[in-house]
Amino acid sequence: MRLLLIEDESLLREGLAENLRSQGFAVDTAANGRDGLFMGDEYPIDVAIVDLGLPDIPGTEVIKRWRENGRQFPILVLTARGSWEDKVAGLELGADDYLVKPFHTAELVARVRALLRRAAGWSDPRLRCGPYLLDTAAKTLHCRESAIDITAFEYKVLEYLMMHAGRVVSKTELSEHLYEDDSDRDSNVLEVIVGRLRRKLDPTRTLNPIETARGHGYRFSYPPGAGVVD
Amino acid sequence: MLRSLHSRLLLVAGVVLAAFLGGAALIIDHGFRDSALSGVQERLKAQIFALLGIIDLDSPDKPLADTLLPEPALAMPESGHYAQVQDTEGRVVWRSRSMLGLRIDWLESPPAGDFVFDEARSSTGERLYCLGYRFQWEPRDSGAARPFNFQVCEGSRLYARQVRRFQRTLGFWFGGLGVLLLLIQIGILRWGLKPLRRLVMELGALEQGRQRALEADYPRELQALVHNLNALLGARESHLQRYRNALGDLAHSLKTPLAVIRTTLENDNRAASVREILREPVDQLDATVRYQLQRAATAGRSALAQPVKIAPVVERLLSSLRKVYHARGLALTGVVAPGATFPGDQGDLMEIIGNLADNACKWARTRVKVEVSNLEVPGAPRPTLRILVADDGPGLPKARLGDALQRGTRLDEKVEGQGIGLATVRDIVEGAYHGVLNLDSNAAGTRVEVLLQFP
Repeated sequence: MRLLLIEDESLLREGLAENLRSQGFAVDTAANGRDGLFMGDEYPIDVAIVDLGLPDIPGTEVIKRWRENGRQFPILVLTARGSWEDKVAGLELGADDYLVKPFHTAELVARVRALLRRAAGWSDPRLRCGPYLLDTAAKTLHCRESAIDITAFEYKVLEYLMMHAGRVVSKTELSEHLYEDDSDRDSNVLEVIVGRLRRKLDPTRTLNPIETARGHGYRFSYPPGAGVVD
Repeated sequence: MLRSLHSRLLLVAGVVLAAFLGGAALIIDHGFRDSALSGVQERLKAQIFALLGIIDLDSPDKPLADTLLPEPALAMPESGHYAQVQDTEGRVVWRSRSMLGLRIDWLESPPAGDFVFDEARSSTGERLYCLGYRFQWEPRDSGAARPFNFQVCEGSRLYARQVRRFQRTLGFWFGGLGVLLLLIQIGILRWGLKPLRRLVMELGALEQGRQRALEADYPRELQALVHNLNALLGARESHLQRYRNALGDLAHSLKTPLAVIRTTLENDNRAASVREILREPVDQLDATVRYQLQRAATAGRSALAQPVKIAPVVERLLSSLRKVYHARGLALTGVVAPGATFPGDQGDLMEIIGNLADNACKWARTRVKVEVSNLEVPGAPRPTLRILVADDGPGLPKARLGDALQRGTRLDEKVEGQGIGLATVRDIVEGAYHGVLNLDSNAAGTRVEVLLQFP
């Protein structure tokens, strides 16, 4: 999941980014409204976190322009003032949630996850697709009540696929949403990871949870919900 | 003391007008009496000269024939016109027939060649104006000249009637003039005070929010006042705005470092002991900054502030909260009495309803209700504004109901900002608007009621 963080205070920006990355997000950062606006317009962002008090373009203006440009990703607003007039103004301009500074990082992460789920049409933090249950809060995976051990990166890939279960996700899309802008992208790595996930999720080769759409990408074959299998 | 400028001016104008017209009437009346009296004197003098021209004092038996009398009334008894001629010994040489059976206290005889004029009284009590004249009669036989006293008089009835008629006329015209002038004066006052009445009307419109500033078109004397009032209104608004911007900047510059500290502490690679030590002071700083900034940003009521329509505010807040609590699937309903307004600051109203509704959303199981109504209070000039926010959450423990309103107390550490929200609302309601906040909580939910009474 790829986040865009616009915050002018460098310590806070880097600290938050570090923290969010450790939570498994790909994080792009911008120090001012101009860069942030550009990145939101150009990058495949899943959630944007915008500080309202930016030095050049106000955060509200950034949000307004994104929405005018047709950007649909959820936006979380960070505000220092915390007055209801500010909050309501931000939400009315197109933000989806707000957080008053200083916040607990855990709170921020929880809000971001909720926004991601909401955007993908999930309401429960536990994503259930057929026999699989991915707990996005605890970051655990179960198949029919038995736990499956996966690595952090495997989790990221699986989370994105399950979040968009039933839909074909191209390799480009997957890499765009899992890597930050300045990182090396190697689609071979993704293929390896998907291969590993297939083995872990379906050791008996009967469930086939991740289908390959030739020349297009991958699809998590079980739609959201505890559908009956076999 | 008269409270109205209009009636004060009218009273003074009335008194001045009455004094002037009364004085003028007195002077004119006096003048008329004088001239009427000298008219009487002239008439009597003319009679004396006429008598002198026809009287024959050489023939004492029949000095004057009645048919020759200058004034026919002298021949009619009690006609009010009398005349007599005496010699120096007081013997009556001739007296008019009108004096028949009548006695008159004639005047002292004047020195020769002189006239004397005064009032006298007849035996019937009639008031008379008399003119006496001593005349040296030179007889035809060229004997020594003998002095005679000529006396003529006229009843005061004619004079009195003239004076009365004049006074009536004078009274009528002066009365009419007085009423006319008073009406003109009222008109002038109304016209002159019109700008003041307009000012009062405009202030009323300002208070009800139908107008943002006073119109510029006022007479010179009021222009300065109006100008200053407008400047004051503008200054208040812009001052509040600047103040809030400054507070916003302050909040930003205080809270961003706090956020840095917290974020840094919460990064995994910090020592747990450092995290533990710093957590509490940081939370405390956060709570204090948040609370004090909110307090400082509260505008409170001002007499000329625009009343805020409540319904759109509630709708905006609820649709914002619906967005934020989307995942919880809460039913948020707002019921606002039609036309309800909040005669205070919009920011304050948003803080009151926003914080209460936000708290309610945090605790609610399925629904939150915001209700705004006007309660009619007997004897009060305006109805009491009642804001009720209710949720169907688990309710607060009885023992903590008091704590809930304490500054900065958080009832549930997991639910961010709960205590501050409620304390903020209490502060705005009680501190800035002298209202009442009632908290009622049980297992069926929590109800917070805010009662605001505006003067």
